Amino acid sequence: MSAGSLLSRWKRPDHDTLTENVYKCGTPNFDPFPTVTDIMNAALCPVAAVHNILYGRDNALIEGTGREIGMGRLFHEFISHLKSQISAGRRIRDTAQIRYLYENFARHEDERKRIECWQYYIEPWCRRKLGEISAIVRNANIFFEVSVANAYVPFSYEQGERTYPLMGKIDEVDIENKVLIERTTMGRPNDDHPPRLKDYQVWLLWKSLCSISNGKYPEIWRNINFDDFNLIVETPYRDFPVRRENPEFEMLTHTAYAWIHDILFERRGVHEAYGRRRCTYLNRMEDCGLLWSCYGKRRTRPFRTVRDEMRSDFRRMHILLAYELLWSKHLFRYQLTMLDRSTLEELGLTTSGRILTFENGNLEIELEPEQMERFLAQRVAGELGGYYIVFGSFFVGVKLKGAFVDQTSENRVLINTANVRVPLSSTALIVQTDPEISAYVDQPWFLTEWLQRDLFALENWGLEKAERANRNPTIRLLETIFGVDPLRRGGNDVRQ
Amino acid sequence: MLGNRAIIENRVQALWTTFDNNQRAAVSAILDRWYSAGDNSFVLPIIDGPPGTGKTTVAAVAIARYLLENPREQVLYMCYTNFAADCALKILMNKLGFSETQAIRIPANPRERGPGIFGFSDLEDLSGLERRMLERCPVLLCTLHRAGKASQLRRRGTKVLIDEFSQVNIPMFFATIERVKYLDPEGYALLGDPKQLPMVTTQPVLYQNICSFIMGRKPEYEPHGLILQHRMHEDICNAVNSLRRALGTYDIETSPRVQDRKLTHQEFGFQWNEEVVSDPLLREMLDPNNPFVIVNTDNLDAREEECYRGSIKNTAEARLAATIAEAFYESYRREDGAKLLPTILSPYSAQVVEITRRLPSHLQDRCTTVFRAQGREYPCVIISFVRSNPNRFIGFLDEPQLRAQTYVACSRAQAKLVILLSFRTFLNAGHADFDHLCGTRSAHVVNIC
Repeated sequence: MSAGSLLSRWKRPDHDTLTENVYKCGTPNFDPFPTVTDIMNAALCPVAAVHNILYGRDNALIEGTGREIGMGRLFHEFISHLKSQISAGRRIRDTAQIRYLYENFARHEDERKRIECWQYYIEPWCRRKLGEISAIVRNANIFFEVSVANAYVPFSYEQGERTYPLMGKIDEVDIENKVLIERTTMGRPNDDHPPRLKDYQVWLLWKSLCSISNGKYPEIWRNINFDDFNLIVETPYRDFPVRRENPEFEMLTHTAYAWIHDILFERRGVHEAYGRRRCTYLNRMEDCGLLWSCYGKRRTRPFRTVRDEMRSDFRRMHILLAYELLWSKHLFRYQLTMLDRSTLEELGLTTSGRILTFENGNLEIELEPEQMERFLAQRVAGELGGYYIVFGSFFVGVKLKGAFVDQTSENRVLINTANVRVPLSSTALIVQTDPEISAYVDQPWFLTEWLQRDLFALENWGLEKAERANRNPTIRLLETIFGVDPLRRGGNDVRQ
Repeated sequence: MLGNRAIIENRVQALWTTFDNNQRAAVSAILDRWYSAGDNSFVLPIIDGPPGTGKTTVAAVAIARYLLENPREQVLYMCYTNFAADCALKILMNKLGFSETQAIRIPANPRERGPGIFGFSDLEDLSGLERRMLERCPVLLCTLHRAGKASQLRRRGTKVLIDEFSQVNIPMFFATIERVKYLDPEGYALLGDPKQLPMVTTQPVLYQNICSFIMGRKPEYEPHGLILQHRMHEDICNAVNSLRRALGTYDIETSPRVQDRKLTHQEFGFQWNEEVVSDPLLREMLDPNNPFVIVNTDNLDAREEECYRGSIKNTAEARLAATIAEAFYESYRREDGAKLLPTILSPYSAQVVEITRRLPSHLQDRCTTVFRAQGREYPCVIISFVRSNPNRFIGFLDEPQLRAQTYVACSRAQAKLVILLSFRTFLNAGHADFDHLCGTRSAHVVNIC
């Protein structure tokens, strides 16, 4: 079977692996739990999937203009802030009023970023949407940054269907108007189609949301049928409706999962992925963020000479780091979605508690005594960085990142979420409807992705001229370690 | 760059006179530049420094001498943990006289600030003054993960030192090389103990530290070995040497200065009031004349229990550890009234929680895991090894990559080491480290009745 051909099934961890009765070591016995971004990368190009999985780079879909980077977040956050303000009773009559709100909201941002974000994205969006947002009623059921995850999302295949795990984040769920919105800063004023794969993204998120059984929704969503929700890709300049019945997307999804599997577990997976890249030197996807990696200058930088020796060692490291992420990050996602709440708590993976107070971004949470013991054990094990507080369920909910502040009494802890700018009004979040919350420790998995990324960068780095390479300490070090040049320990003369 | 040059010079000189030949050779090697050999070879000093042999002091002296000899140059000092970077910072500031602007640690937490510590999240957030201070600072210290940020603040030609290389695996090392490559370093140096604990991973190949990797590729390379330790009492050092032999490496020697380092010696200044301790067995354990004590817990009603994510606890042993710790606290006192604060270590986090909840509040922060204790030293250490089962299974304590837990735990103690373990589970069951450890001649064995 060649790489990229459709899989007969997606392998999920068995119960012993989920409950950590299997020693986590070596090649994982399960396939990854991808995010929507991972699937989009694999759908864009198999080489983008290789970069994403093995080299810690998921920037294939980010256009190379540089303007969008960092502004997307501000754009998203401000619009959710604006809508929740209106939902909380604030009246907006014109864009000047919005500008005032924006300047106040973005006052800590870099000035250039603040001005450009308004000029290129928020202002055109506001002009277009003023009527619509003014009509938002008080206490509207609008939810932002809703995380969705399910280990079994069905996609039709021939006469039947196949299921895969999938997780992602929906920019906006508007229950009143029955709309799911994927908002983006990409796109241009005259575009007549949505930015690349953004329609696919909102469709994947919708599939994931619909796949969740009713009992796993937060209580206030249990009677909502998401099957007939409209899907919209919203750029600053236009709204693009997306078809729900979409056989092309179904097929794209099967292929994307197949590539992810093959790159990780098939011997020739990476090789075939490069062989099946989506563009050629003469017919390039100019807006691909990985263009440089495929057709960049590295081919004309031949020095250092030990590239092949390095590559054989580094390839092994890339795959091992990817397996490390599977055993940690991906297994954890399976655990959250495949184990019941009490097992998760018994394993110490999550902690549940009750919100007592929520003031100035500080959450005071009361834990059961045995939960407190686990909470403390996590601190002892050095796992304490921050927490994700989950409002709703692990399947559908809002996740807020918080930092431990203090143990206020025997069973109470104080978690600070002050630097989170997701709107925390009493109306526009699941927060206030249910004081029962779950929390889990935020692990620094991104550090492993940094290692993948930097290892890849070093592997591909070189200089054009031999003379310069000979004087370069990094190249000389690599030449010595991987080549035949002698390595010396120095210090033969003991200085006085 | 070094305004207080004379002070630093004097202190370097004072430390230099206390160094043995191995330490001097190590410093000299670090001072070399990568092209010093003058041929096609690369000079990369690797300093193999077992516990207490003064790796960090050697590094600090080398840094100071490098900057004294080359006043306009800079040093980037990196290690795996913030704690290790802090230790180096303390030595530079307290022992060598560097000021708060001459040695700065960049912590992971952007809000952390203090003497010699300057956190920030983005270079763009810094004021011109702050940025200039960091750019001009002769020594920057940080973790390997922050190397990218720190290297943006250095000039070309910076000297790069990596400490604690047992925790630096192959990808971590080469990723760091990538992060500092635009500095065109004048030289690199690696310091650490290859036998100490690696970073935790699920992939056995990733346990290999960079030193072992280089040695595997360059078998003719011989690192600089430091052999004289200045931390442990000779009896404790004997125990550590037993473990080093089991790990297949060379013995270390004890400096005459610490050969007879007891809790009651002038250096620590404690007096032992044995009247406070009524139990004769406990008295035997606490006696300062028995620096290395092994307590056989077979007769305790000790059973291990699995809990939090497969971690293990042993309630009876936890109770005993807490009792011993409290007895140390009550019976050892300095003339100024200060009491001894013993440190309790365990390889299992569940046991740490179990012991902590049994300790009085003034001792609760004295209990920690072995992983967290790596790189630290304490006057008095109690270790609870937890495992007690009829199958004589000791889990990761017997695994090739993690068995160094025992070695690391024992080598934290300066003057007193008390080990709690079940002989039935650990001894004569093919667990070489523990057979070697209990076979140490200097061990004083106490059997709980």
